[in-house]
Amino acid sequence: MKKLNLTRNTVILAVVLLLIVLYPLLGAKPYHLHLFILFFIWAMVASSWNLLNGISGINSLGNIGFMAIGGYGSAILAKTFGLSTLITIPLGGIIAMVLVTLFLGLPTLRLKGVYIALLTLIFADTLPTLLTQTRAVTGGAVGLHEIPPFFAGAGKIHNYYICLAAFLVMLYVIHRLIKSNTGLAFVALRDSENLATSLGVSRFRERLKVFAISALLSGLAGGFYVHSLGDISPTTLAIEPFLMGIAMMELGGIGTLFGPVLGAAIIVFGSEFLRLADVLRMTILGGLICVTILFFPGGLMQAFRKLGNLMDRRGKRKRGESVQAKVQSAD
Amino acid sequence: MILETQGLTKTFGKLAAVNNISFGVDEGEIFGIAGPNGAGKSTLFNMVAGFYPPTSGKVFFRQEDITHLSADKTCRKGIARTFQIPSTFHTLDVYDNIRIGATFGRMAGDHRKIDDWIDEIIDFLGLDDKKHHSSVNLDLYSTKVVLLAAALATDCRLLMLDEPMAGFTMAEIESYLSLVRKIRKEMNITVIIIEHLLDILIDVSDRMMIINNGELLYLGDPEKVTEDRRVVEVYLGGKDYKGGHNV
Ligand SMILES: Nc1ncnc2c1ncn2[C@@H]1O[C@H](COP(=O)(O)OP(=O)(O)O)[C@@H](O)[C@H]1O
Ligand SMILES: [Mg+2]
Repeated sequence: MKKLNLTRNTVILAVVLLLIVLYPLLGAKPYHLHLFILFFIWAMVASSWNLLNGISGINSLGNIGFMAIGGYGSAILAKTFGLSTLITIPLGGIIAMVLVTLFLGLPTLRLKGVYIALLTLIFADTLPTLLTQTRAVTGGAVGLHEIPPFFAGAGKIHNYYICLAAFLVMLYVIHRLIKSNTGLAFVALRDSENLATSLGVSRFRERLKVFAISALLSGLAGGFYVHSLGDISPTTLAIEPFLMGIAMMELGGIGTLFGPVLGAAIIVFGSEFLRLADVLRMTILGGLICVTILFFPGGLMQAFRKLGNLMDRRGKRKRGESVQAKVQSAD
Repeated sequence: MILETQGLTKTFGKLAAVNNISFGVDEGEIFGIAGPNGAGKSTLFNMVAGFYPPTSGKVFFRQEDITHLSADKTCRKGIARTFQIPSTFHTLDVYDNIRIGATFGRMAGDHRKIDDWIDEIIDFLGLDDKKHHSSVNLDLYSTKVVLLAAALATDCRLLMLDEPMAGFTMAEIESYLSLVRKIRKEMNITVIIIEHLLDILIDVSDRMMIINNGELLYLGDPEKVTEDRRVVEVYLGGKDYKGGHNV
């Protein structure tokens, strides 16, 4: 049964991926490409955020801030210093990683649960103030505009494939990380900190590691964001993107590999679809999330897994029934 | 001596949970610790294993001062411990629970050997049939054996078990004890075991210690413990000890 399940999932994944790769070639509208680019970027943000909140059980409310640092970093380096995005995007990620490790990773070592959440929130919350204080470099409240594209003359289709590739690579890296000893340590500390440390897992090292990695990846996503969209401002740090990020993880399935990706897809495309509903948009999304979490605390991934099991069982029963029928006819 | 404490003390506010306890454990012995509830047994473990910093006093492991080492570093020195409340890594299966100990304990870094080592431990404790079971739905006995396996997987030289047999049936106590003896004999691991039932402890220990109100009451030969007037008075409630269980 397990084997069958695996093949089914693999087939679904392969088909979806193929469609996504071919989509721009099938005459997609630029606006739809734009939506997909947003999805790729959000999927990166939600997936890297999930390393902290889902895999490690450390409640970070700061990842939009990590993303903004990476985005601003890369934008300023590219725009002001004219550096290639090949260099600026990684540098943006590294800046986010260093700042977050120093100002969050280390200070949270002594903290637990809600206090970590508070500190990360404060961290992200001081960024807009900081940005308006450094107007000369960051553009203040207006933000940065006409940020250079990935390369001269890059259009929507290029952005689409660059962000898709970045997203796939990042997802693969996260997958490998979760399967690695480091991922095992994150999960161990999440499940039981005392038991984990008694078995030799270093809380200090792993805590710094997960903040560093999550910030690096969120920061990189910020780089892809600014060079795709061309601008960034403190409104990126407003409450709505923040809530969307949280919603993506919770809705899709926190702590799973594909949950945040699924959540990102539903929120990005769903909120576009719900634009018709105008002011009710957030309310409807909120309601959807509440209902999902109520019935499936593990998010949609849990719902799908249940559905998969149900289908397997039905398949089994059908085969069972036909055997029974034969026996009866033999009587 | 593999382990030695000197004047180990832990106070919580005004309460001296452990008060000036000095004792030593010899390499290769099974060392029993008993004492009434709240005597300070678990606190003593927590200090030795690096979970609580002592208020005063020192801990030596193989002559090395480990008083201020963190819990994970203490583990990598070769001390493994279990907890009084048995809980596994609930999202991981039995194998991965054990893998944590093997990966981050004293074997850390030796990646090629780890899989064989885990299988060896699983085999040694007879967990083969539960290898890929979820670690949450196990019965109490299996849970404790899995936790024992995880601790052993760290490749420890000293194993400290905090009331591992609480809640066991007589038969389960028997088989757990035979595991403990086997661990000492075949793996050459020194064992410190906290246990409420005095009979059992006398039976399994080479030497034992009784503590009460954080203070050392008795240290020495298990056979003579019931003859000690202070032990009889404090721990056995003043009556002549006739065997039977003390809870
Ligand atoms: N973290 C703690 N904070 C405050 N008091 C504690 C703490 N841990 C243990 N104690 C107290 O120390 C005393 C000894 O506890 P413990 O070592 O658990 O006893 P035992 O394991 O012998 O039953 C008890 O009175 C207990 O309430
Ligand atoms: Mg205790």
